[in-house]
Amino acid sequence: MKKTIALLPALCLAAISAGAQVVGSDGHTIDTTGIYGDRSDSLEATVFVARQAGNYLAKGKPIRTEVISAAGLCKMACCNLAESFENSASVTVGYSDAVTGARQIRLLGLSGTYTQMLDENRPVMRGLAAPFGLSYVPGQWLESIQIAKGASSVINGVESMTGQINLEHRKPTDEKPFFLNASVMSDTKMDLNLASSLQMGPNWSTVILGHVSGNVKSFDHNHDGFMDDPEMLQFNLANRWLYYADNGVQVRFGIRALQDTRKGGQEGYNHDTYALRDADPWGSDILNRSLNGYLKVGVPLNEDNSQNIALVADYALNDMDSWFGATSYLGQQHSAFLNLLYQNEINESHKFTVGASGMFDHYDEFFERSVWYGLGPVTDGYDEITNLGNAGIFGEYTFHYGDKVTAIAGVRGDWYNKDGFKFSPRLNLKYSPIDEIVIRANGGRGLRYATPLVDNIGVFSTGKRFEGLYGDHTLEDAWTFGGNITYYFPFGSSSNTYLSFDYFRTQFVQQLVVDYEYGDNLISFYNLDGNRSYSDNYQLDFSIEPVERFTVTATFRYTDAKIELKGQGLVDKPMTSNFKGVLNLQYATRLNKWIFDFTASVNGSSRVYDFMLDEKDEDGNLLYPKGRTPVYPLLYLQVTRRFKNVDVYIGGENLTNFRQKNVIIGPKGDDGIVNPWTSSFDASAIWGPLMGIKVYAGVRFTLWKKA
Amino acid sequence: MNRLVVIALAAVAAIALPSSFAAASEVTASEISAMSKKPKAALAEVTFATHLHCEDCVKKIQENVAFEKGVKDLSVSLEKQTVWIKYDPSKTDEAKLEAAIEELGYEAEKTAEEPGQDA
Repeated sequence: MKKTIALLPALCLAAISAGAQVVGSDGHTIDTTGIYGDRSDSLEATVFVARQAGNYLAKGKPIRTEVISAAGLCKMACCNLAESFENSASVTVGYSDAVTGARQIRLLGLSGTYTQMLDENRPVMRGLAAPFGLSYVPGQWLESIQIAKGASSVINGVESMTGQINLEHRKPTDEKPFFLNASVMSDTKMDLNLASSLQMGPNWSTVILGHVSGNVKSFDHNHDGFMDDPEMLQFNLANRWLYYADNGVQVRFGIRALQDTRKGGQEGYNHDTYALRDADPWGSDILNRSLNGYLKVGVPLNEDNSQNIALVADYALNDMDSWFGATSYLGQQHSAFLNLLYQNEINESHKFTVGASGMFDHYDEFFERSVWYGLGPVTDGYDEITNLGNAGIFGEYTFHYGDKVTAIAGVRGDWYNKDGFKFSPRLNLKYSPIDEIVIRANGGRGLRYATPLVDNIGVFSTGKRFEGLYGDHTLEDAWTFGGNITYYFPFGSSSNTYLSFDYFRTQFVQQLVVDYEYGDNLISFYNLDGNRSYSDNYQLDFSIEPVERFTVTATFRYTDAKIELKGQGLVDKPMTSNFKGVLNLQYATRLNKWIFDFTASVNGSSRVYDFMLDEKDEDGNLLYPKGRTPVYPLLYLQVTRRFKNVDVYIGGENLTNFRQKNVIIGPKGDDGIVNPWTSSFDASAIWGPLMGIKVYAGVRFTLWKKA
Repeated sequence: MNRLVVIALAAVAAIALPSSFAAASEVTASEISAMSKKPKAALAEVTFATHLHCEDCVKKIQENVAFEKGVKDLSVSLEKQTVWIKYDPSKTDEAKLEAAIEELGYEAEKTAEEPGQDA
């Protein structure tokens, strides 16, 4: 036992460092390898064991950051990352279409493609990995999620326009040699997650993460002839290692392999035999495979670790074979990311980080699409190899004036292989005049190469013809400015009672526009080229623990997103909901043996596409009489009973049973089923839930390391 | 119309649930109050000094000791390096609780240190 006790400080130090890779000593995401010595702040903090808040705003960070903790990840089924955002108003989750099961998020009212996804500060879910990426991160693999709004650090590149979402996985240093989670949903979807963190002496530790999920059966509850959810089967395996040397050097490396198949649409679809004729069922058939490996090395250059260097290298292979009716999209992407940085904490007031980094993507795409257009079938497509990359240098300077002021100024100069040199400045300010008030402001530029088809995977689930720049890779360019003010109240059962207000604006200089309204039965891809496109977001957050172990969080967001479309001028961005309100209540009994979670949300309306204006319900009434979708509520409930090493939970989703009507749009045949081989067929105009009430049950088993 | 009903239901639930939770908390409060009316000897308290290094240690003790037989309340302080336990002496005793902490890999020595705060 003495040996175990002796190991604890080393493991804790490694664990603290693992956490520190997200939040540097100034609370900013500046470190990429977890190179920190003693984090005395953790030890000095008064940490009494209490329930960990589910979602909360991090007080110390200079950028407005919402944290979804492990407790928050257990509030709902959270089978995957997409579902983890259900009780956040900052992030809205929706379906890309009614066929593939692909989920997409929106932050600041804009598509998730403008949010940079990070896996412990490595950019992930890029390009071909983006459309289904949210489904490939099992919620039970995660320890926490940080949502940073606005222009954040320049260290991991400037692909973040509306913000960054960083995922923290279970750590190799966790003293949990075995974790198992199994759950089943009423729609027959089953999830199995395994995790094992093992420590081999004071220096080496590893975590193995496994996941299998799928559904036994697909249903067509709304009898529209199309499966509500695709038939799915996913295998996902990861192994992460940490080496923590006695001299402070840290090496982290890991691999991940994934395979996912999903078949959606009408039953009986066969992409080998499908032709544009009445007899063939229309559907989608998708096979995604990916392989990822990474290496992080951190070397302290002096004893107190105030100077260190770090290297981060990441490689990912994403392979996507997909068929949608008579459309084939076969893509392969090799991605590499390299980041070398030097950090120097001169004293308590001044710190800087400088470095060089680059990102490279090699795409090999075959795309062929046949649709009815005008009087007969038309076939378009391309077969291309594309290399996209950028490399540059960056610097970030942090100034602290006690606890009152933090200022972080960052700049990057990058050379983009198709667009030349680009300069990207970013600034973050935090001012806390008194303990109860925190004021933050940030602003800066974001740049990313568009991948038009996979960024908008829903376009495949239509009978429309594509025109314009769908094969191009526009360098999208946007500026985001904003800030927030948070007031901490001196009442409530915890010190975390606050009211917070945010405002953020994202304005595009260049954007790839995907316009469903430019022509009949046409999806037009074109560049913004000087036209206007922006999104203004206002958000209010309130959190309180009125009595011990009872927490209430309420959030309301209002979004005004506009875009100038060809032939229409400045209009509301279509299919973008204008508000969302979320109320979350959680009550736990003493020692957390019972936990009750309730979440209610109200989702605002969106402007619908012009081709949806004539849609009618079964009684012949217009579905969108004012050109907007209805406001709708969603309710979630979960009860968890905790025993020693075992949690059992049951819950329900979408308890109001609200479902979008007419998710499949187009002319109907005699059987009342939409003809998918017509040019006006569209299964991508999704604004609401596709499925009604779902109930689920699950169990979590945790084995803790003993002496 | 259906939509209105659904929205109304959601609103009612959103309003009703906090009060039911509040009621639940009142019940718990009254239960605690009732508990406190029992003779003090019914529940005992003990504080152990230990060596905690990080929040993971705190969590490990919390997650395990909370489910030991007879444990009624628990507070772990990283700052004070203590584990405070309220327990039912008819179901467990100090030696068993000390052993439960040591089994997790932490030292445990009875101390007179007052708990900083109830969990």
